[in-house]
Amino acid sequence: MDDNSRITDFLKELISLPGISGYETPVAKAIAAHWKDLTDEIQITNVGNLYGIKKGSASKNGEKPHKIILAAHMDGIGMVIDRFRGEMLHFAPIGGFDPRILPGQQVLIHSGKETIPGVIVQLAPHLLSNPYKDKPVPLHELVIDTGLEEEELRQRVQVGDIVSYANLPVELPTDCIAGHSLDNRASVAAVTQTLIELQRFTHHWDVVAVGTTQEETTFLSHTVVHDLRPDLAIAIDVTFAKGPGVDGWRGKPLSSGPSIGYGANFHPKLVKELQSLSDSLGIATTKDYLPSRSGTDAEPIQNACGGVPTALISIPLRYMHTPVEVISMKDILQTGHLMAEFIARLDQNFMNKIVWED
Amino acid sequence: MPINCKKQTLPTIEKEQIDLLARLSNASGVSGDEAEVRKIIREEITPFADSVETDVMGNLIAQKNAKGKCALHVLIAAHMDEVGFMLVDKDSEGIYRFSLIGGIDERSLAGKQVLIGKDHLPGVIGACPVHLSTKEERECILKLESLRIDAGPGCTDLQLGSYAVFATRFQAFGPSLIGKALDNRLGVATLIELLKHCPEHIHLTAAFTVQEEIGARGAAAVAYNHKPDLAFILDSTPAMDQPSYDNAENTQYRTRLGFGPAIYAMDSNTLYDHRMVEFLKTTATENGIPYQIRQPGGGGTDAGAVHLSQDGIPTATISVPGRYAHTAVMIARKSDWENTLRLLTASLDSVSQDIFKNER
Amino acid sequence: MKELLKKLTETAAPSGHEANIRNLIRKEIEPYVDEISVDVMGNLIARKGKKQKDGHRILIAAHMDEIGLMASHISEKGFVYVASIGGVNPLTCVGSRVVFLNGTVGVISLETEKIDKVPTINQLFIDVGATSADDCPVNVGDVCVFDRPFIDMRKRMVAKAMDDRVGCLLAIETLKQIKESPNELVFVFTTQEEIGARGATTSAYGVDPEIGIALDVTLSADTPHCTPVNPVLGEGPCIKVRDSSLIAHPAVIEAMKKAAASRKIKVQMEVLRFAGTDAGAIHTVRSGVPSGCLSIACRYVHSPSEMIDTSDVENAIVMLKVLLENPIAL
Repeated sequence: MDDNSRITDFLKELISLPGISGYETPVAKAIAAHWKDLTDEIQITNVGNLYGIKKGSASKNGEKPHKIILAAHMDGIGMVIDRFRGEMLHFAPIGGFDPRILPGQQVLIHSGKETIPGVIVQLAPHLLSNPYKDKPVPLHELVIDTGLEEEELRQRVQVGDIVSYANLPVELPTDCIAGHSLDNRASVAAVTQTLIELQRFTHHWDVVAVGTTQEETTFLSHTVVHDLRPDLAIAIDVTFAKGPGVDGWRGKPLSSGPSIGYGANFHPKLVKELQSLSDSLGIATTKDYLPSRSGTDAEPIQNACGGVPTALISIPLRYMHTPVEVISMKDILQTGHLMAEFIARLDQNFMNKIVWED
Repeated sequence: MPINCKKQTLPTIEKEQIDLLARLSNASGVSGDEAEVRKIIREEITPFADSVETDVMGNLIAQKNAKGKCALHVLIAAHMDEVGFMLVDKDSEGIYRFSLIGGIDERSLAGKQVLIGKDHLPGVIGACPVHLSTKEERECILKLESLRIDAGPGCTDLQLGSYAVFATRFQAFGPSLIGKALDNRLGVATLIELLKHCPEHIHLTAAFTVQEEIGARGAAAVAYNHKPDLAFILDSTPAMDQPSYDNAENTQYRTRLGFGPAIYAMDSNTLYDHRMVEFLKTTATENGIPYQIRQPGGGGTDAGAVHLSQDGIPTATISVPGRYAHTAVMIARKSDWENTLRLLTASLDSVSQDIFKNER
Repeated sequence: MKELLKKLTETAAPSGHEANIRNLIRKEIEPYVDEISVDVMGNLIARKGKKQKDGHRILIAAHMDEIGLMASHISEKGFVYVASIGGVNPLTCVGSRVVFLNGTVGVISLETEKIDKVPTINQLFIDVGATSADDCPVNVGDVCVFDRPFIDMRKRMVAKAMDDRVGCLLAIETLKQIKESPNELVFVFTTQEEIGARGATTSAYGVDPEIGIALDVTLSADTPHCTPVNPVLGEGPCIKVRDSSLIAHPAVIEAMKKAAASRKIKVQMEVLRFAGTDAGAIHTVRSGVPSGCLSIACRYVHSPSEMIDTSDVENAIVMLKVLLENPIAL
C-alpha cells in the first residue's frame, strides 16, 4: 500500500470515531495503535495526552538528546445532554460552532457502553419560546429525537452523556476528503505521515508525536511541555481554506500546501528555518499571518514552563467546525513530508540558530 | 531603624534620562517584534549588569548580583512592546490591508502617519475626502476593514508580515512628555535607571518583557524561569482626569496627572497583595514622595501573569499615569515619572522579607 | 452543622482579603489535620493521611473568598464610589447594606432619576454617613461585603456568601469525620476564586495533586418561571459534567456516582453552559490533573441572599466522605 492510501484510510478511520474534548479515549486508542509500530514507546497520561516517542541516533548512542515535539490536538467539537423534555433531549455545546448547521444532523449519544442514534431537530414554531420566523432557532431550543419513548429513553440516556456527529467520511472525486473532526485529525494524519517517512531517515534528535486534548475547550497542551520539556515544538492545526464563505486574506487555497504561521506566537528563527527548507525543497507553502494570538496549541505550548521556541503549520480546511469539513490529502502529505525533512536535518548544533539578536 | 536614617538622596530626571526616553519612544517595537527596543536597552545596560541575556520568548533579562549571601531576589519587569500594526494583504501597488496588534480604538487610526518595518519606511493611513462622503457616512466609524496603509505608488519592496507603528516623534514640552509608546517606554527607562543604581543588598532580575500588549506573554516565562521572592511591575496607566462635559465630579479618572506614581490595588488580572501595597505606601510617605492609588477596575499588567506563576509570587505594579495611551500621541508628566523613579529607588533600598511577616 | 455554617457565612472576607475566614476555619480544623500552612496567595492548606496502595494525592478545594466591592473614589461630599470584586450584580446592590473590613457600615444607592435601565457598578455609591471627603472613614482601595445575617428556614437556609462557605462547610465536616483513607488528602481553602480561581491556580501547583475535586455552589433553575432543568434545590448533590472552565474527567464523575450509589443518595448531573470553579484551574496545572466538582444547588447566587437546601448539604457530606475514603480508579 502506498503512503497516500495508507494515510487516507487511517484518516477515514479517525474521523469515523468520536473523540469529543475531554472524551478523547476512542480516537486516542486508534492513533496509539497506528503509532505503535512507528515509534519506540507509546504513553497516555492521566489527562489523556498521547505521546509517541521515536528516539533519535543521539539517544541510541547514549548521548544527551535534543527533543522536538509535533503537537496535534485529537479532540473535536460535540455536545452533551443537559435535560429531558418528554421524548426530546436538550443539549449543550462542547466547543464552538454555529447552531445554524445543526437541524437535520444525525448524531450518536454515548451512554455508558451503548451508542444511541438520534437526530437534531427544530420543533414547530408554536412549540418554541418564540416562533423564530425567518430566524435561526437558537441552540438551547434545538432538541435531539432518538425515536425512543420517554420511559425507555430515561432508562438508556442520562444527563451528562456525550454526543458526537454520526456522519461517515466521504472521498470527493479528486484528492479531497469530507467529514467531521478533520479539524484536527487531518493534522494527526500529517504527523503520522512524518513518522512513516522518518522510518526511512536517520535522525539525530528525539521526536515525540503528540496528540493533545481539550484544544477546542479549555486548552491543556501546556501540560505536554511540563511532561516532555522539548527544545522545539511544532503545533499542527487547520486554517481557513478559500471557498464559499471565505474569500479574504485569511483564506488559503485548498491544495496550496502547508501554511506557515507568522506572528508573535512563533519563534521567528524557527519559522525562517522551516520556510527556507520548504523553499529549497520546492514544497509549496503559504504564509499565515497571525499578528497577535493564534488560538491554537502553539500558544499554550510557546508560553509553558518558561517558553518553548514554537512554530505553527496549518493545513487549509473548508467549512471549519461543521460536520462536512473538506481537506486536500495532498496538503496533509506535504505537511507530513516537510516536517520529516526538517527533523532529518536537525543536528546537535541546530539550537545555536534559534537566537533573537540578528 | 529610625526614620531619619532612611532619608537619602533620591534621583532626579535630567536631560540624560529624557534623551534616553526619546530614543526609546521613537524606536519601533510592536508586540512580537521588539528587536529594535531590545538593542537600545542592551547597549545601555550591559556595563551595569553582571549578566544580560535574551530568552526564548525574546525577553531581555539582566541580572545584578547581591553582595553577600541569602539576599532577597527581586524581579522588576517593564514591557518593551507597544501596540501597532501588521501588513497582512496587498491591495494594489503600495497599498496594504493591515491588522491591529494590541488594543487600539479604530477611531484613532485615520489620518495618521506610520513607520513600516525595520527601516522605518514612511506611510500613511488615509481617509475618503470629506467632499465625497455623505453626511450619513460621516456619522459612522471608519472601520479597520475600510482603512489601508499607503506607502505610495511605486513602493514595491514592502514584505507582507511587516510591522508598523505610529510615526509620532518624542518631545519634552513644559512639564510634559509627549510621544508614542510612552506606554511603556517610561517603565523601560525607569528600570534602566534602577539597574544602574541598584543597591547591593538585593539580587535584582531586571526583565524587559515582550508581548505584554497581547496578554503578558513574555512575563509569564520570566516569572517561571527566575522565580523571584517578590516582583515589581513598572508600567504606564491611563489618566482620564479631564473635566466631564457637564462639570459633574469626575469619579472615574483612573489616575490623575501630577499626583505621582500610581500604585495598583486591583485590576482585571490581579488583586494586589495588600502587604506589598502597604509597603509602597509607607515607603512613599516616609520619603515625602507623592503617590496615588490607581482606581481599582479594568486593565491589566504583566503582574497578572507573574503573581500566578508556579505557587505564587507577591507582586506590585507601579505605573506612570499618561493620557491617551494606545493612540498616536500620549502625554505624561515628567514629575510623575521622577516620583516613580524615586519611589522605586527608596523601595529597593528598604525592601526585605519583613514585608511578609504577616500572612496575606 | 448549621451553627458552623452561620459563623462561616457571617464572616466578612472578600477576594484578596481572606484573613478573617482563614482564621475561623483554621481554628475549626487544626485538631483534625496532620499539617497546616498558608501560602503566598493566602490559601489555607491542610494535609491529612498518607498515600497507600491504590490511593492518590487528592486536592479538595473549597474557596473561602466571597464577592465584594472596593472603594474607587471618595467624592467631595463623602460618598464612596466602587469597583466590583467578582461578579456583583448591580440590581441586587441597590438598597443593600455593606460592611467594610474596618467596621464601617454603609448603604448602597444610586441617582435614580438618571437611571432608566439596569445600572452599572460605576453608577452606584455607598453612603457611610460622612459629610465630606475629609470625614469619610473609607479610603480608595478599602473593601467591603454585603451585611446580612444567616437565616435557618429548616428545609432551606439563606445567607450571603453561601457561595462558597457551604463548600468550606463540606470540607470541614468531611475532614472531621474521615478516619481511614488510602488517599493523601490535601484540603485547600482557596482564595480569589470569585475573580478567576487564582488561589487554586497557585495552590494546585504547590500541592501537585493526582486528582482535583472542587466543592462549590451551582446555579439552580427552579424559580417560578424557570425552565425546569437540572439542578434544583432538594434533589441531591450535583456532579458537574462541564462548565466553561472544565470538562470534568470521566473517571472522577464515575467515582462520584459510585460513592453516591453506595449510600443510595440521589444525585443530579450538572451541565452548565457558563461560569467556572476552582476545578477549572486545578485541572490545568503541571502535567494536568483529572478533576471534577461536587456542587450544591443554590438560588440567587451572588445576591446578598443565597439559598440552599439542608438535605443537599447533609447528603453531600456523606457522599464526599465515601468518595474520599475509597480509592478512585483513573
